[in-house]
This record gives sequence, structure tokens and C-alpha cells, in this order.
Amino acid sequence: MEKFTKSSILRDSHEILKVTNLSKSYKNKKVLREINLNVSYGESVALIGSNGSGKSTLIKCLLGLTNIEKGEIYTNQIRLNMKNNNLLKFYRRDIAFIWQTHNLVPRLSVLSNVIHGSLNSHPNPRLWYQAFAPSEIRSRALNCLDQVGLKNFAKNNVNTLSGGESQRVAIARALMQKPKLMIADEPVASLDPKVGIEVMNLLKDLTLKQGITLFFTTHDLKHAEHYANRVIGLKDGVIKINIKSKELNELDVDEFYAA
Amino acid sequence: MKNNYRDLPPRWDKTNNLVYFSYLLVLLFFIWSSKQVGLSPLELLKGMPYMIRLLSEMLPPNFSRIFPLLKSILETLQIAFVGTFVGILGGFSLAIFAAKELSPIPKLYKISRGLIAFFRTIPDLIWAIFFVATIGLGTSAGTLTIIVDTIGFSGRFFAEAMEEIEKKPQKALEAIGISKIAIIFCAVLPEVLPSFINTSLFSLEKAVRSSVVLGLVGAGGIGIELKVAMEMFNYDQASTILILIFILVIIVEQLSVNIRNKYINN
Repeated sequence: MEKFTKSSILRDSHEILKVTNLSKSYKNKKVLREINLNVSYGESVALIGSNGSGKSTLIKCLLGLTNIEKGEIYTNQIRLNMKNNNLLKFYRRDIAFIWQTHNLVPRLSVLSNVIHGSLNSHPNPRLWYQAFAPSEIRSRALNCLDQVGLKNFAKNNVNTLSGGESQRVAIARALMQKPKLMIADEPVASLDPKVGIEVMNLLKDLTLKQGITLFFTTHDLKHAEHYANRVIGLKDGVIKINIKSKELNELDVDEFYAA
Repeated sequence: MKNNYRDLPPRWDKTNNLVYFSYLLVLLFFIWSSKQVGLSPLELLKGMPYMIRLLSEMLPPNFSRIFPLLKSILETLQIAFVGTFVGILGGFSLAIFAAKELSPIPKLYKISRGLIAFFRTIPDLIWAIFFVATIGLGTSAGTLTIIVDTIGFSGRFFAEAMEEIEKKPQKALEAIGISKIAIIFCAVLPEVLPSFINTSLFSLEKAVRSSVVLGLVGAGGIGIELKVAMEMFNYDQASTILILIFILVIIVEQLSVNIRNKYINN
């Protein structure tokens, strides 16, 4: 942690995620305006909003996948700094991300894909493919697969998996990171409702059990109500709702989603 | 019911006269060029008796020198194999730098692209002449030629394959905070593997065919035997060599078809 200046670290904070005055535009169109957002350790937060409300952009900003124009983002007390590759790598170490589609590497085994999750903390070329990985890592990966119920799939090619299975492998890969924060962008949007509920249950159980903070976007208000403690609503790049999930049924949904 | 032919869409899209004019130009250029290069059925007919005489002198093939010939056809295969192997490694290494967005050192992108293009644009026979002139007659000149030629050929296809694949698995690993070089080996390589195998097999087939020709300029292999046999009017030996070359090419092509079926079509 040699290169960390004082401004890169936020000490003694209760928030695992802290966003202040975040703004972002694409081609002169403001997508995010002055976003302020706090998520405490151990919380589960759902981000809702219509298409184009800025949800995905906000997530991209949180992960350092796109430049931010203005504002600051801290996760796990480390400030996002995209100009310094070492800092960025360190910033990303405690954040796991579940994409809408699983985004596993095709043609590789399930086990290799899960092992990739540990490449941030162990940048060792032996972890590129499961065949070369140390037994300790292979065993940890198998354990992660066990937690998502796919222990027997370790040597399968990911191309042979169903959508739900693939998403569970992606969760196992995320667990391999030993994350403190798990961000998921519509994690079950590409799955059928039944499998979607299974995957959401799995996400909720695992994060709760391991004390991981969960931050996910969804279009399904039932999911928001059921799987989150708190719901944040984004509309036209501005946070319009910040309520407990229990209060969600009091919300005028039509007005919130109206153009 | 009435036939309403008038409502049918036109069979051909409307084209402007400039396009017709350019078709005409291409046709005229073809006619003029054929005259210029002397392509005429008459010439072919005139040459026919000589061809028949040459063919009759080639038959039956003379197998008296079969063992030394087998040795040099093996040498040809070895030149092609070693050259392709090293060339593919070189082509792959250069391709990593020549693939847009993947290049670990973006400054080297243009240089590696240029290098690959340079290797590719100069024909293998010219490379062979260059290496024979600089390092001398023999197989090492031939092997170097195949290496350079394979780098140019495979490097371009490798780079393009790496640029064209689905980017999302790479993005997913990037979000975890994994280094660029690890992403290339973890996410890019598994995705492009079928295309790599395909390109490598084509490189080998191409190398076998060109290593036959390389012997003509003294870069080792069976080519020199063919040249000597033709120049000494030993046409019956030349036909033996041609048969050996034919068998070698067929074997390599068949092998590559089998490998392709096994690893790519499944």
C-alpha cells in the first residue's frame, strides 16, 4: 500500500460505498447528476429505475469501467482513482460484480472460470488454467462451487451449462474474490422467473451468511422488496427515492416510472 | 383473380450509367490484357505435341534414387514443420501487440502491425533469395524463410481473430482487476483457439507447398532435386519427385482436415 496518499483512504467509515456529487455525461447529455449515495457495511440495497435512468452508468462508474467527470467514489474506504492502475487494481479487489449475462470465458472449464476470481489477489500465471493451479486454490474454488450447488460441474465446459447454471458459476467466481461488496447489474434479467428466484435467493443467502454487502439493480419491484433492506430509485440521473424496502408498497410506482 | 404484374417489385435495383460503364471498362481491360499476355487457344494447341513428348519422357517414373529423394522430401517437411512452429509462436507474440485494445503497450500497435504487413507483402521466394545470399545455401535459409512468411501470414489472422471475439468475458475479468496479459491468456486465448488452430494448420499446408519451391533457389529440401532433374533432362526422375511432392501435400492436407474436424467442428 506504499503509493497511497491520504486522500485515497477514508478511515473509520461505516460506509462500504460512499458516492459524493457524482456526475457523468455521454455526448453532452447528462446521465448522472450530482449523485450522493451511502451504503453501510452488511446492507442489501436495490437500485431501481426505468431504462435510461442511469442505473447501468452508475454501476459502470462504481467499478471504474468508465471515466467519471465529477465527484468521488469510495468503496471499502478506498478512493476510486482510474489514473493509477495499481490503485485501481487495489480498489477492485474487494468488489465482485455479477453481470446481466454471466460473461464466463467460453470453452474453458467451470473450475478455470471460478479460479479466475482469485487472480486479483494472486496474480500468478498458474491460476490462468485450473490444470496448473495450486491445490489450495483448486480446493477453494471447488468449495465456492459447492456453495452455489455446482460441485459436480467442476470439469464441465462452460458452453454446456444452462443460463441459470452459468449465472451460478459467475457467483462462484465472485465468491472466489472474497469480496466485501457484491454489485449485480440485473443479475436475473436473462433468466426465467423460477430460475431467477433461485439465483436471487442464492445471492441473498450467500451475501448474508458471509457478511457481504449486496448492491443490485432490478426491474422487478418484488425482488427489490424481498431481497433488499433499502431501495434507491434513480430517475433521469437523479436519486428520487431512498426508502426502506418495507415502504416500497406505499410508493406511487406509476408516477416513478412515468416518462 | 387478375394478375397484377404491375405491383411487383423490380427484378433489378436501378443502377446508374457509371456502374455499367465501369463493367465495360473491366471487360475491355480483360480483353486487352489477354492479348498482351498472349493467352490464346492457338498457342496452347501449338505447344501440345511438346507437352505430350515431355509427359511420355516422364513416364514411367524412375525410382532408382528413391532413398536419397525420400531423405530430401523429409527434409522439406522438416523445414516446413520447424518453420511453421517457430513462425506461429512469433506471429502470436506479434499479434498480441497488433490487436487493437488488447495491446499491452499501445505504442507498439502500429509498429507490430507494420512489421506483420512487411513480412507478408514480400513474397517467400524473395525472402529465400535474401537468406541464401546472406547466410548461405541450405536448410537454415529455407527454415528462416518459412518462419518469416508464417509470421506475416498467421500474425495478421491471429490479430484479427483477437479483435473480433466477444469482449464481455474480457470486460468481466477487467472489472475484477486482472492484468492485461492475464486477460489475454485467460479470456482471449480460449476464445480464439479454434481460429488459431485453423490458421496454424493453413500455415503448415502453405509452408509445405512453399518449402518445395524454396529448394529451387537453394534453400534446402526437395526443390533442388527437381531443378537438377529438369535441367539434366532426367524427366523420369522429375516425375518421381513430383509424385513424392504430391503424396506429401496430400498427407499434410488430409492430416490437417482430420485435426480440424476433431478440434473445431465439435
